[in-house]
Amino acid sequence: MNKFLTLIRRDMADNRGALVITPIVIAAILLVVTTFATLTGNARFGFDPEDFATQQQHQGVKGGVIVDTGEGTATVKRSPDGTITITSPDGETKTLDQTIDPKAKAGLEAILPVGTAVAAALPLAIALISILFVLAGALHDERKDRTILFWKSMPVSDLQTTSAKLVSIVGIGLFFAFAVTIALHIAITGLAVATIGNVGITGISAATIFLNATKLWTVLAVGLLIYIGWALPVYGWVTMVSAWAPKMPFVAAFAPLFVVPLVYMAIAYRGDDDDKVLDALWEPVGRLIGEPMTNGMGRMVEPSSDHIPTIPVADVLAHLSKSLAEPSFWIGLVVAGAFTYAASEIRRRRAL
Amino acid sequence: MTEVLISAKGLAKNYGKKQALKPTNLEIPAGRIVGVIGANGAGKSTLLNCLLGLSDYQGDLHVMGMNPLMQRAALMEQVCFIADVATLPRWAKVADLLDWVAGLHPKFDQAKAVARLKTTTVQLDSKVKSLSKGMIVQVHLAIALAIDARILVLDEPTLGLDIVNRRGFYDAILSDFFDETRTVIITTHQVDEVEPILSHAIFIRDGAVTLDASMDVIAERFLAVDVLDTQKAEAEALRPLYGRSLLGRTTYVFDGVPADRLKAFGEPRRVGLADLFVALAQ
Repeated sequence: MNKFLTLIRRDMADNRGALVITPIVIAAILLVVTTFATLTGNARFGFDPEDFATQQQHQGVKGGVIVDTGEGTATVKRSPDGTITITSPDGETKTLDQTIDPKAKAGLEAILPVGTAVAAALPLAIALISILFVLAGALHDERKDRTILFWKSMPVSDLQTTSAKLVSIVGIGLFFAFAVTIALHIAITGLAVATIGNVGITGISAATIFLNATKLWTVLAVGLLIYIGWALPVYGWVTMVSAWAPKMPFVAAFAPLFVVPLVYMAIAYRGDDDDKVLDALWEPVGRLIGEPMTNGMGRMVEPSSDHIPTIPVADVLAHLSKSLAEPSFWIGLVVAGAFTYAASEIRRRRAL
Repeated sequence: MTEVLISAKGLAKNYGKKQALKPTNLEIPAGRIVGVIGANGAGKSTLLNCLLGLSDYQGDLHVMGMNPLMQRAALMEQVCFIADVATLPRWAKVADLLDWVAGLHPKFDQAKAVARLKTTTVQLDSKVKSLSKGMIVQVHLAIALAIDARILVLDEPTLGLDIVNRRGFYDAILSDFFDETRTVIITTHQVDEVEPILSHAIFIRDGAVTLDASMDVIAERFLAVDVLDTQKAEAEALRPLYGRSLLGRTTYVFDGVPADRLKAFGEPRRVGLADLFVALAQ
């Protein structure tokens, strides 16, 4: 176990730039931009350059956001005098104040963390892409720079080495980016909560907003874990190609995933939506974009039984977990294991 | 009886249709310093790669009683190797490298490696890429010598180093690693530099072992003598392996001719490995 942890520490150090520094830098840039925008009074609903120019002339702002309450769309607007009004789906307009409609208040408290989460998810989104490049180079680059000869002088099996690379790059790499995303989410949401009063919205509960944020993190953490499970055979494939490819491992790994289905479509596809062969050929790409687990999933904010917008944690988790019951999930894990073992065998049988 | 650390029967390696190593039999006991000598592409590194479990092979091979290909991880607890100066990860810090080796190798004495590096100009917080070739070798050597291994394999370990670093490298191997229970295997082009420390030599040519003998046997079996032009016919009658004419004298190398018979032409002398390699290559 100590060896495995050492291998992971080594791989994290090797890929520090892509796995550690990149998410932190992206988060830092986002935080600086958000803070700057907030401090300059422009972090508000419906910002556009024209509004900004108007504000410069002290003529007020006409920003707005549309909220889907489940019964129709409500429009939230800031008037030039700074008051916020909500126009409900039936056309009734109310000024937002301490007596805010509990439903609208709950809606804002549910939507705010979702909105800030979308912005804060950028480090994770970038990490989901960058790990593909890191993984493609993982076993190729050590041959290219000949360091494989040093690492092979250590009493560590090729399977341990290959598994450690997969765990460190995919598992730790993605969950580190997830941790950065949460930290950024806390910061951006905190900023929004601290400054939302500036645009006339009062009576919003910070505790509820952060409680909703926590629900989101739970959903995202479980979702990320299940996503990794679905995408694991693709990660295993990329690792195997990295062990084998003489050069350009990224192209060697991903070209077949796109070229083969495209060639099939060009030659044999007759527009049949239920073409099993085509579905099978696109499956690796589908797994990579999380299609099997998100297919048919509802929205992150749904009206509850009493029509108050809420984040349906249990429903989302149930939907995500339901995908674990599909045989293809477990078959994928077996395939991932086979690819990882093949990668280790390829590494074992070649020096350079 | 001396323990045999490496035993090979019919060891061979093909790259496609090319036979990089022809079927070879070897037995290398403990307490030897073995030089593997051959031209570029002769098969030296192929042989070492097989011994280290770095590539597959045909035939029967046991190193420390283990199958290198199937048991490389276990074998590497007993075997240490330095491939060349450029195999340490350039992105790593020296201190991190020592930490990782300590975490990966149960027989690595980190304190010993640090103590050795403190006698050099290498800073522990330096990145490998910031070090000179000589300093990188010092780091690699500090790691290798801090591992309590039975076999040390060096594949062109001093390539690109200056004479001072080369000499220091081999001095360290002799003083800090070698004893009668351990074996060192070296491939190098600088045959003259390693010859004084070798106890055994293996010549490889075109994938075939052309000589596998101890330095004592080589000294007894192969002799060189300078022959005057007037005695050339008589000397050539003894079927020398090789002759080289220079400045009015011809130097012949003989295989298995008694020194007494050669004294008729001049004083027989031991043949250097470089000359012997050339002689056997003719």
